[in-house]
Amino acid sequence: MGDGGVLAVEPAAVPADTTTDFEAFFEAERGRLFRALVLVTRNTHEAEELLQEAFLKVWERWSRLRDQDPVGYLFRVAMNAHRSGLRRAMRAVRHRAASGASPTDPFDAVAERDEALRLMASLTPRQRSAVVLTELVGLSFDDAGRALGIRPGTVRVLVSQARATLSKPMEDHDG
Amino acid sequence: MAELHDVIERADRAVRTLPSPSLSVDDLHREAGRRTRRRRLATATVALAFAAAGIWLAVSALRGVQHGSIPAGRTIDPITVQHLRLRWTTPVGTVDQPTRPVVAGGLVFVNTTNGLSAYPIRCAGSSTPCPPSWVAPTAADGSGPLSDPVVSNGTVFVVSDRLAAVPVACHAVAGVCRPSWTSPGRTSWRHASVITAGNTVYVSADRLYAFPATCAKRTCGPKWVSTMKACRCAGSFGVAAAGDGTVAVSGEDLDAFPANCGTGGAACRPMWRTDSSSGGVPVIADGAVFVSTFDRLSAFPVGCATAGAVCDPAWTVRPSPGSFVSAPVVWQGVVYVSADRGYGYSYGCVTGHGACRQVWRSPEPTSGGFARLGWWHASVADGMVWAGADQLYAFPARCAAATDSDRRSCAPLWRDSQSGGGVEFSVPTATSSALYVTTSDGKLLAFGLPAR
Repeated sequence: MGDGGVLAVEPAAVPADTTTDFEAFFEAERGRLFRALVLVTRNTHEAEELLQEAFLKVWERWSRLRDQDPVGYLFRVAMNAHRSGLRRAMRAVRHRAASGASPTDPFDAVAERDEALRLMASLTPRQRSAVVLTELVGLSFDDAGRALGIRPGTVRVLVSQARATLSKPMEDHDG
Repeated sequence: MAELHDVIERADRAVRTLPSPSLSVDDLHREAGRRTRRRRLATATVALAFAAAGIWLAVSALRGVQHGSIPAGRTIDPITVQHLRLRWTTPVGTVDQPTRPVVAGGLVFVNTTNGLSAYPIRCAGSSTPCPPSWVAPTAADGSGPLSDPVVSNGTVFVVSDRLAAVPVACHAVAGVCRPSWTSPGRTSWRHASVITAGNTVYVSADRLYAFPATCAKRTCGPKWVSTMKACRCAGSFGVAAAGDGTVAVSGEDLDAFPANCGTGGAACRPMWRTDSSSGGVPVIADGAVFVSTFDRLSAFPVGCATAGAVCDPAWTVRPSPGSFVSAPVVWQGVVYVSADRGYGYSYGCVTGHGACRQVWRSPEPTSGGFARLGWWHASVADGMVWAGADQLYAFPARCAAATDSDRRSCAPLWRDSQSGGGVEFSVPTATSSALYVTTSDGKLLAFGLPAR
């Protein structure tokens, strides 16, 4: 899955200052990535799975990434993992089953009463991903394209389509 | 009316009301350590299997052991399948994504982190691990994901950082089989897949590469290479399907190439492409390319456009409710695909270029304790759909027990309640007398019918 899953370094071998750097990065980006993933996947369990996978990938490459663009890489890995979602969705289901977690997702309750989340649901998964990365995370079309594995022009088209969809009268979305 | 930025900001505020994720840096440390241990365990397991192989062969030679826990002569069909039982199992090493076993020349081939392992189809009892007859060291660095092996004309093909061709009837030395030829190594191929069609081997990697199926040299280059670059969809570099003179690659979109596109490493442009999202695993059958993604299953005629034009689907169906969570499998005019959420149903859909009509689905999760299927890896053989989901299942491909003419609920003919338990299955491989599957916890399972 993703980039391979082989850990280049073991946690115990990582110098303390590297760990501190990473922890600061983790705390800074955890919430934002989680919210972005919830909006894209519409599922908190799956978002948490993707969150862990993305941070693990960044962690194993941290010595190289820390001086580059770890944020861009983090979102790129997360979206890559989301695109492999056919398997991941199943793993999330299994994780919930194994942990005995409630089958209900808290997101569903929030989405039911929030108009903005209902509107987001009217977008296609690709449109939602493009919109979240550009409008919420603030990535450029180029960076969002890299994260989504598509051309920048395609990102632009997806955002335009999303804008057009949301511009329709509310009754269209409802029904 | 709603403004995009306003909607996204309000949606973000709504999501902030959800409980924060429980993930901590300590959790990451633990998970990283767990994965490292798992990989080491896999390596140790294969090493142990090698050691066991030597001992087993020596003991066999001395004692003249007769193998054969899966009795020959009984055929698995929709009637006898209910008697199918686990006959033997052996460790093959833990992997993130179990690879499909393939059967040829009396051997079961499994791609492992140590290379292509060949196990005898008739093995010792279920309590004794079955060592490989030989291993071809094809994996460059033991890292995954690994490609499914494919067999064509007496050769097994696998791809890691390069394409490797391993003869089925290999003259192994000390349990090690050397590939008869390989492609030049390319590090960007580590997430590639391989398929064969006719006399060509296709590697779907950063691009689509078409190799000759036979090569007299130790290293052979491709006949042709696609001009487009595939995206790293589904954690890999895209997946190819071949048939009807066409090879299709799923990436950012779906691109179709002529099977015989050139020689001498020629650059090949697509005949047609789609402008819709892809990333699913395509299948070519009945003159069409079928591809399923989360929100749709589409069929594109094989010859629907030329000169790189955009091709519209002949038909598209959407899951209701839920999402499609499997690659399509096509058999005798019916396409089978699984969906999640709500029903967890899986259904067959009659192929055809004008429309798609759902013909059956598995029972709803609430009926008779039937579990939600969700993701499955499926294959079809001898009138049965073999599916590895939460357990292993065999469904009747034709669903003769149907009661509802529109949406027939189709119960499985067989399921193995001993397997499963949170593991992920490979695509099952069924022969006339056995069923083979590998699991994400590192086992090869062999099922067969009991002796009369």
